[in-house]
Amino acid sequence: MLRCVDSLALVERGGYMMGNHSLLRLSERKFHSMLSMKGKYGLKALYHLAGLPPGIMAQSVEIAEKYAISKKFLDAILADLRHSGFVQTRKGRGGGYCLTRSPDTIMVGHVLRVLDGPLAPIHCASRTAYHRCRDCPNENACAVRLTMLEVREAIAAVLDNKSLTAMRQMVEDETPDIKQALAVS
Amino acid sequence: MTLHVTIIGGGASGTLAAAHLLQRRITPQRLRITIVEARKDVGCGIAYSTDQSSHLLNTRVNNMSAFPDDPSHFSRWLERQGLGSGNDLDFVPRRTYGRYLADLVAPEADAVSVPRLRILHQECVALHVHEHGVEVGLADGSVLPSHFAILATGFCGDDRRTSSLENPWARPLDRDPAEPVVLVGTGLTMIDMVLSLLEAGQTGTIQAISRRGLLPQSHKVTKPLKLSVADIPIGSSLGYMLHWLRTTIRAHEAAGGDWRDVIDGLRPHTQLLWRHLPPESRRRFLRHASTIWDTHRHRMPPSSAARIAEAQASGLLRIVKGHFQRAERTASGTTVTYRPSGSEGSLTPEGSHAIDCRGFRRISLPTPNRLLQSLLDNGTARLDPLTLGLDFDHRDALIDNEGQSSPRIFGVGPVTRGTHFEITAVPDIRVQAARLAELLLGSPGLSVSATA
Repeated sequence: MLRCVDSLALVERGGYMMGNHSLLRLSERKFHSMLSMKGKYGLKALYHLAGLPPGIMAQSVEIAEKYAISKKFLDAILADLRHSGFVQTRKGRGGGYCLTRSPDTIMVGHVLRVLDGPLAPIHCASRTAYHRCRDCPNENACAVRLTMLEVREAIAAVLDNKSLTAMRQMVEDETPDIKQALAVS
Repeated sequence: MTLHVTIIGGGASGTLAAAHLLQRRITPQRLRITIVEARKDVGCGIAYSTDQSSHLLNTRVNNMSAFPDDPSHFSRWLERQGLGSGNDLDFVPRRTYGRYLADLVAPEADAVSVPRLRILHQECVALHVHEHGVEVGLADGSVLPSHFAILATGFCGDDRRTSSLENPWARPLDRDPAEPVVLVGTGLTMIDMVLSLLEAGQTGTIQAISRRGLLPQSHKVTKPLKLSVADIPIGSSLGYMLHWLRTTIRAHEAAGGDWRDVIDGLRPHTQLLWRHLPPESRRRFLRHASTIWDTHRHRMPPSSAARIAEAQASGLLRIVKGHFQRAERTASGTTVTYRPSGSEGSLTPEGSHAIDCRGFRRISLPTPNRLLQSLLDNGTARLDPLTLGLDFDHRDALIDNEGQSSPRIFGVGPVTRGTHFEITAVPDIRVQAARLAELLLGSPGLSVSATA
């Protein structure tokens, strides 16, 4: 979730307990959006799994093709989602990935904390991924930081109340051409 | 119109709920609170009715105010009673806190002809919800019409009625201090029992048995980490969460901090954490991690820790790892059978007394609490999936057997444990009581639901 123009900070940051995805971090540098590629693809994969009928599993290749994600990257993301208890796998015929629990109990905020680290718009607005700006004389008097602390709470309030089911509902409520656009983006 | 609220249970939770309702700026004519409590003492409940001065609060004075937005309320009360030591970091006896709670619901000095609060020494046996309110049925057959009912029944019944172990909170018996004693459980209740025994001049050995033999950790002055919910990986599995917790503690300790700072920093978020924890992870937590959590989260005052360590060093107190199997009353006392951890056979120490210090666990049906049993029987309530208490929604409204939240019946304190988990300590219950008071007294439907 942390997105910072300071490229050093980008290299230093990571998820909570992620492996060494240096490839991923390099690719992240190009993006200054709030969401990393990892977070975005992870959500898309879960969105896909949330639409499966009960008992049906999806293979990663199927998800990778549908959303145009590199399979290797997707497998790494799915592994993280498995470690954090959101998806489970079964090997063999008919095997693949599925959610571990009902999609209305999995919130977008849950997933992004695992894939992208603490929800925070700026490093000094997180306690666990804390990182002080190099030019900061006094963080307690920093107007930007204090504002970003409020932004952080607002982000959490939205993302912790948006379930995978609600995500699917949003798409269904939109017009079909937006649905199309989402599927290929 | 006058709003009638009936609180069922006059222990710490019910008293805090009443205090928070009374504290709202609402004219006396508009509020009537009834506390229904069969026991004589209101305010004390199980936790604070102990009359032993060695039973201390497990939380410092500065964190025990009844009102979260007025942290010095309790220490000012202590001053007025001439009990203040001037140090808000002290741990005072629990019976003192019981008096503080009783004082919160004492008759108001400037009371109008009809006081806002009354206490009925009765047992509540039924609740019937109707369109405009709820009828509170009492054991003597009378019915109390109310707008809202708040269940504050505490830890409701448990599965140990067949056990031959003694209730730790029964009045101490006359006994020979040279006789050995067996305690089952090694948590904070065991600490209280050992301190009582030491106070009474115990010279016979005390054996305390639990699965892992873990004692509560000791308090230290902490600087809780200011964790935001945005920092905590809520919604992930138990394994991931514990890994995160360990990593965070390790990083904090490496930076010169104390693990207690992290645990205490989590405290404002534990209820949210529990709510987002997947059901399977909750089950696993109770099975595998709750002991470790409890010993680190619910700590003992350093003075108690020192006396326990002394008793262990002198050989008076022995902590034994083992699985409790059964207890049998004999002519000379009680024999406890347990299987020492890692062994096949059983040992059977005997004590003049064997006391149950295992704390509160799950509800087993039928429960001895008539009210709860009737609510469950007629479908007004259901147990939470882990049978820790009744099922409530996150606004503390009771959930019926069809999954609907009640607009009239709410809960406060340990009866809501299935929903919040950490709802046994005053700092947690007072926040819940404040939230409930705001919900009920700000309730927009009130003006139309007038029955009075």
